Amino acid sequence: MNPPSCSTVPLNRVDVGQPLVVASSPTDPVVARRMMTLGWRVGEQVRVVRRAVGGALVLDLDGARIAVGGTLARTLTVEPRA
Amino acid sequence: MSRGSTSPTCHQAPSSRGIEVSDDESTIVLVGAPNVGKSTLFNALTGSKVTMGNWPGTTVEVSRGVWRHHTAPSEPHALAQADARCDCTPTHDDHRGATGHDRPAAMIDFPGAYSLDSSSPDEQLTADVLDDPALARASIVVVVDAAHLARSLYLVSELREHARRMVVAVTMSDVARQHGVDIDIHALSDAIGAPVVEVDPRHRVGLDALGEKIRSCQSAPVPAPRGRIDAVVDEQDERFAWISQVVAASVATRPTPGQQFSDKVDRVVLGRVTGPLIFLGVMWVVFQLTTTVAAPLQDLLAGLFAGPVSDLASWLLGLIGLGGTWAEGLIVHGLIGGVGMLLTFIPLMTCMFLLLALLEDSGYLARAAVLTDRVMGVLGLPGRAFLPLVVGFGCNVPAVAATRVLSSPRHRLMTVLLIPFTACTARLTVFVMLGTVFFGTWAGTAVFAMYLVSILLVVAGGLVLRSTLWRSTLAEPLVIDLPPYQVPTWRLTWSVAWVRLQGFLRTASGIIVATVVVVWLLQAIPVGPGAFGHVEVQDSAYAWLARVIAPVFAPAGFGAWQTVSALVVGFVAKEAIISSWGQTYGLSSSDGVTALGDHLRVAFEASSHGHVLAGVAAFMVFLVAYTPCVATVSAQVREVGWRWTGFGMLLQVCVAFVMAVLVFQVGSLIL
Repeated sequence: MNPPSCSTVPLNRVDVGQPLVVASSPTDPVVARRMMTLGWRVGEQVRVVRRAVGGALVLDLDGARIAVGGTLARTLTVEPRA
Repeated sequence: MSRGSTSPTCHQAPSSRGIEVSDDESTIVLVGAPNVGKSTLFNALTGSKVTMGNWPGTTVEVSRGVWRHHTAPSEPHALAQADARCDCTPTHDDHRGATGHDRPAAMIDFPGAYSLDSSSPDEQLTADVLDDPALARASIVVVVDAAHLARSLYLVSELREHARRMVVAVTMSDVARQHGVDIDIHALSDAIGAPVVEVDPRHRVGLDALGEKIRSCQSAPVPAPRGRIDAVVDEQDERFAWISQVVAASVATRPTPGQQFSDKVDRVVLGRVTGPLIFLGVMWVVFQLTTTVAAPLQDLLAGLFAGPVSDLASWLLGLIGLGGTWAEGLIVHGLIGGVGMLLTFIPLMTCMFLLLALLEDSGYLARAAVLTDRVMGVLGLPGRAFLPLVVGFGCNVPAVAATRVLSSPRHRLMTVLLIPFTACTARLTVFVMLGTVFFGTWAGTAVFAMYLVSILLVVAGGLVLRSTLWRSTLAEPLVIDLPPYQVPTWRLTWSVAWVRLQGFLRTASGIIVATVVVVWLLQAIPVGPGAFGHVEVQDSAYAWLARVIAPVFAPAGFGAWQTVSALVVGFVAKEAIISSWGQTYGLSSSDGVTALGDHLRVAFEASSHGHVLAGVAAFMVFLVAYTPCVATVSAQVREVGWRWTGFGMLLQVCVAFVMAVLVFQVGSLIL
């Protein structure tokens, strides 16, 4: 996992629709590999499309829609794009 | 599997649970990420001639079918060459295809896999395909999603590192174009280094072109592999760079207006208020259709077998001099009763499998998993487990089948173990009867209490299992691909449902018929006065067995043999408990519930030493927790095998006994 910089924020704290850049991968290697194959890699662009019930987030990753649980979202960091 | 009906080639490797493979070039292996249309393509190519079973030595299920591709007679044919090497004679069915221009080829549909990484059994199996000697010469068709090409190409990049014949089938091109993504198929083929075909399996477009590419690929030399072979996925992975090059060389993007259709629908379907309401509505519809709508058909079939079919069989047996003999009892009450019971599940299971296929194909099931993830997470289960558990309150048999929506075998197993604790409607009929007879105006409360006990058992069971057997499974966070919504196609929905129904009938038939025959035999064997097939219930081996077991239940307050014998019948089907009591007490249908209630009151009075209500409550709790019925057992065997089914049955009986004893011992202090 990459160390978060001062401009990075946890994924669960960002606004819906805000353009973001992936800043870190999950700490669990199995989850990290799964997310990498789904497009979650450091430097890639991402956007939160929706907040669902129970804290889950729907993400836009390269045009695809991926849902991640609220607990996982708290551990992922992103950098807001200007 | 019958080779004569579906197998196109010889040299078949044996399998332990139904799937056979051919070790020649004619075999085609279908792989790809989940939700790319792989199974739709498989169904479009193979039709309904599909066999489902576990891959030998694994718990991963794969589908196997036969694809008949039209070829011109003058063309050189790789499959013909493969057939010519066989030293066995093609079957009648194979000849039928081979003598025309349709050439049969075995096609195996592997589970969805994003990569060859071994983090899941499904992906491990796809990785193992490359090392399986039985598939060393098979061609691989990789299905990729044009709308999300970069993500689909990871598996392609890994497969290209192996010296294998490979064809890439690009699906969802229409969706990609709507998203402003245009793919140059020729450029993509050049960049990948393998033939690429654009297909639309939902509308059967491009299938012939795919067939031609596969056929050319089968007769062509094996292409040289690309670069290294390394299964590790990491940030610095060279494959991502390769994918970027491939995408840059073959994809043109253009701006598209605003929100996608699925995003608009998700605003409502995943909304904080509307989401749960829609989810509950969908669950209600599933519950209603699998019980209320299927139930009349179930009753119709049950009546048909208990009435006209049995009468006809008795009449025919009478014609050949077997009327009134034990043979008539065996055939009418044993075999026909067993087959009849099996067939009564067909409407229920068909309904369940069709609904499952519709929910999966439409894209809603993935959303339901998101909505219920936090609730089910308490039990260590993913959101999708909610569906089978809800269905379980209607009938446990389709509920067990519904665990197929769970991709993880461990989650499937855990859910299968919890489903028997959901109080199905068959148990409800017994609860209502006992409640009416013993609890009077409190009957409704007593029945409601049983549902609370059922929910409590599911929650407690889940918590115990997550903290013991599957501690490591529970940390798995929600990461799920949400496919775009689409209108399900009738052909695919029916095809998937039909294959699953066939699988259920194949597994369940033997177990259900054998159990019904065994119970009939126990009731036919005299222990005392009477002859085989002509014996009063109380003088049969069935009653003898119940008398032997009965003392075990004395601490639970229902140690009378008449009560315990109903539990034996209840193992066959809970619906049969009331009729078996009627048979035991020699009642006719005109005697009604009151007469039966009087007999039961006497039995419970004696076995509970005067604490009748405590004894009845303990009996009802036992009914909630112990093995639902033989049909559920057979469905469990199909899903998780004998070992775990046996473990589950033992668990259920132990929990049922302990709870019943507790209820009676505490209840007898109050009631």
